[in-house]
Amino acid sequence: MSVFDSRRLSLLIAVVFALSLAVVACAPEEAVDDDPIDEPVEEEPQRGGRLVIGYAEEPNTLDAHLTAAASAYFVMSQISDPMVDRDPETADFIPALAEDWDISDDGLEITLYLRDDAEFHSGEPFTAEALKATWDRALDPETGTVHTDGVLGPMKELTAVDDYTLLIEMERPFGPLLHGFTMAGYTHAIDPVALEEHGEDYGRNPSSTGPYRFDDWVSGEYITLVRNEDYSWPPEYYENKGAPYPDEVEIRYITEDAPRLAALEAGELDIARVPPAEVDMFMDHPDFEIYSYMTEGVTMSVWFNQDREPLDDVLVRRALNLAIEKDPIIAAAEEGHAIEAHGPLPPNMWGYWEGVEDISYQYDPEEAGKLLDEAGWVLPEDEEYREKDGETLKLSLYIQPTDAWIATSEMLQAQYRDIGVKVEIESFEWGTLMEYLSEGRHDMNLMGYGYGDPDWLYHIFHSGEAGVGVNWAFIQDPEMDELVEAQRYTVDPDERMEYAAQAQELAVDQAYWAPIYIRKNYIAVHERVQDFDINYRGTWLLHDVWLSD
Amino acid sequence: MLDDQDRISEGESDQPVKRISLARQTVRRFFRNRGATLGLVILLLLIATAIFAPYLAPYDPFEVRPNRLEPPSSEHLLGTDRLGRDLLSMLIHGSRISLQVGLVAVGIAMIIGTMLGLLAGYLGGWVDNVIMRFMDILLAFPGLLLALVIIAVLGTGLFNVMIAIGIASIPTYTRLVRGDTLSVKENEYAVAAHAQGASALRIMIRHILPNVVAPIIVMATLGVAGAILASAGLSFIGLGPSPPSAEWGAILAQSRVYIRRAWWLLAFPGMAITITVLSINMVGDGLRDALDPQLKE
Repeated sequence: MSVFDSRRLSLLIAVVFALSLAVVACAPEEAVDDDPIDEPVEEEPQRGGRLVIGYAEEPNTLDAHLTAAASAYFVMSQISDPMVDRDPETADFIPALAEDWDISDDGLEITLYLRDDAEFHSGEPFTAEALKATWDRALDPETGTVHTDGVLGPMKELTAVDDYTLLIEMERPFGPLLHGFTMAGYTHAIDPVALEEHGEDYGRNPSSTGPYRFDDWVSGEYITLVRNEDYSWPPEYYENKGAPYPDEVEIRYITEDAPRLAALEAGELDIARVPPAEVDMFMDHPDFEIYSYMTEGVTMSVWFNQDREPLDDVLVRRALNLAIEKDPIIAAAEEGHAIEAHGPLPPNMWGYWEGVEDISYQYDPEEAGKLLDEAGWVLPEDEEYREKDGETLKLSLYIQPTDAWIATSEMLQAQYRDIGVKVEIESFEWGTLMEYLSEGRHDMNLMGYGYGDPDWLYHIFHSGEAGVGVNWAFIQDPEMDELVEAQRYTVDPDERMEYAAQAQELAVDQAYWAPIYIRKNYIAVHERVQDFDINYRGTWLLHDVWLSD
Repeated sequence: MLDDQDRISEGESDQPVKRISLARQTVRRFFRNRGATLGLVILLLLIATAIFAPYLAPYDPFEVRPNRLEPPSSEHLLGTDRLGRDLLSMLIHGSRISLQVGLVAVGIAMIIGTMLGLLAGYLGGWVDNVIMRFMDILLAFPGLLLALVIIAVLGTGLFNVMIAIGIASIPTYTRLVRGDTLSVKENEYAVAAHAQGASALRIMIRHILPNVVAPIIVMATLGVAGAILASAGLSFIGLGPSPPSAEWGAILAQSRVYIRRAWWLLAFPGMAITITVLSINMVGDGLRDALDPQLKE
């Protein structure tokens, strides 16, 4: 990894990381049947069988420190355990491999008390020393870990006080830390024996403490996992206190939607995501239950590059907010399977400030026109687009060529044309897009994210992230910097919440970007899969799952 | 016409007579081929559609309407897409893009390829070596892959797609022209011109080019079809023009998620591509047969 420009890499990752979480970090939808199965007959779970999961993207590696891909995160979550978990109902932090923890008042010292009965797949006991070794590896710049900054934060020193007590000293208090500990896919303990044995190839032979052991990986085809017979430390909210019921889990990679859904319908897959265009067809299907959850992030938004005229003018940005009619965009891009977004954070994220619903911009093209007039951009007679000092109001919109983004950009182009703003859509592959956005070549861009913590505000709004991070709107606002820093380096949850609320209010008031929608996600589960559930953020709860004949 | 022929046949040389009758024979042979004639008719209709697109299209192709994903009806003959845009209007406007890509890409390939082929074939020696080894390098990559690489360098966009496909198809023309040039330059008239002191450039353009032009025409015609297919393919994988675009491949790409719900969104753009490519191929085949000197009446 050292061959890469580390700064560029960390930037790339910040986003991939952010987007990757879109898949793993999600929350339930109130109206939809949360637990559609609700067993009519209480059956005794039976052991055996193979659970087949259809997945679109294949991981690049299963080394937790070298990837931020959602597909890798999913597999790694099955073979590992988090240190801390969240209650599936209340979202409160609950013990996992760490039975308890202490945080000092200044937030600079965290002590984790680990369980003493867990083992790695190699048979090696799970200890504070092993966890320290794992996190030291993640913190070592040589490793090139891509999500350390957002997940482990500014850790200074790790000390194994005894076999099952780990003392963490921080450079600065780090608000999102406990949240980072819940992300098993990133912060799990790596099996020291496997790491030693496989070295460079560890990413193809991962090993940790989880309910399944890694078995086989055939590129382009599948990854298989087998039951860890010794497993006896699942999170407390599961009925099953021992090893999982299925003998094996196969994650089968089918990139295109159509063949993946065909495999699902043919009964070859037990669980798979269903794209919005197909949801209605599966809703009525007798063989499947559909589960839905909301993305814990704003799936679609327009960002305004404030380094460039005329988007440095708040009047113009407000007008561009007012001109967006969200319903038709949701219909076109997501077949209606989304809700309107009002601010930079989604309602299901801890730290969301409800006030944005009162102050957000409601569709009002006339008012938008007035604001543009006020800003000096007027519509000459017989012209389609506004002008100022002989210059046409023309803005570029950078996107990546995926279905939802294309549909949204085309709708926006039509809606902005109605208020006399010309939009030129430019589409790039993801890597190129990020490069251009960091260089600030764009006027506007579409963006979506998923993230589990309001610390996301720091990443998108802090001036220090402009050009190197994901502040692609190039927001340089000292007041905002102060708020998002305060949020980040405060440990008290209520105080953090307050700072986050102020940041959200400022972001809406200044119209830094235009939030559009938050997607609902759907998964189809075959009827032979019993006791499947998803938690409040859309994470699949697989430990109680068993297969009927 | 008859008068014309009589007058010419009374001329001093019988060369022109032969040429005219040869051209006429060719035309006659072409039209005797029913497939080729049908292809030509369809192609002319398509060209007319492209030229008069704004007048023929019933709606603005990019106007977004609330009635999305409507099946074909009297109001929208081919249905609407997911933004409620009229599919027929999009296809009509898309014909402009497809034909444009086909013509420009082939134009680039044909002009550059022919020049290089003439140079290589006529001059021989190190020029031949340099040009042909370079062509071998280009030929080592499959055409579409080469186009992908070129787009990766130039960036996406309609114009870059044209250039990419054009460059990727240069080697076929170069090889064809070089081969014919090698044989034509040994003919007496070429040798004679050389003996008279004509410059290499003059010999290449006045004496050799006219005699290698027939196979170029055939290949270019077939090449247009190939270029249209390639551009649809590149658009399908997202490397074509930026949205909104009525490019047929792009319409197909955006519609593929609806394959189980809205058949018209895939059927009609697919048919448009098929019919266009098929008609051009039929014309190309007809031309090849008609221009083949072996097939005299």
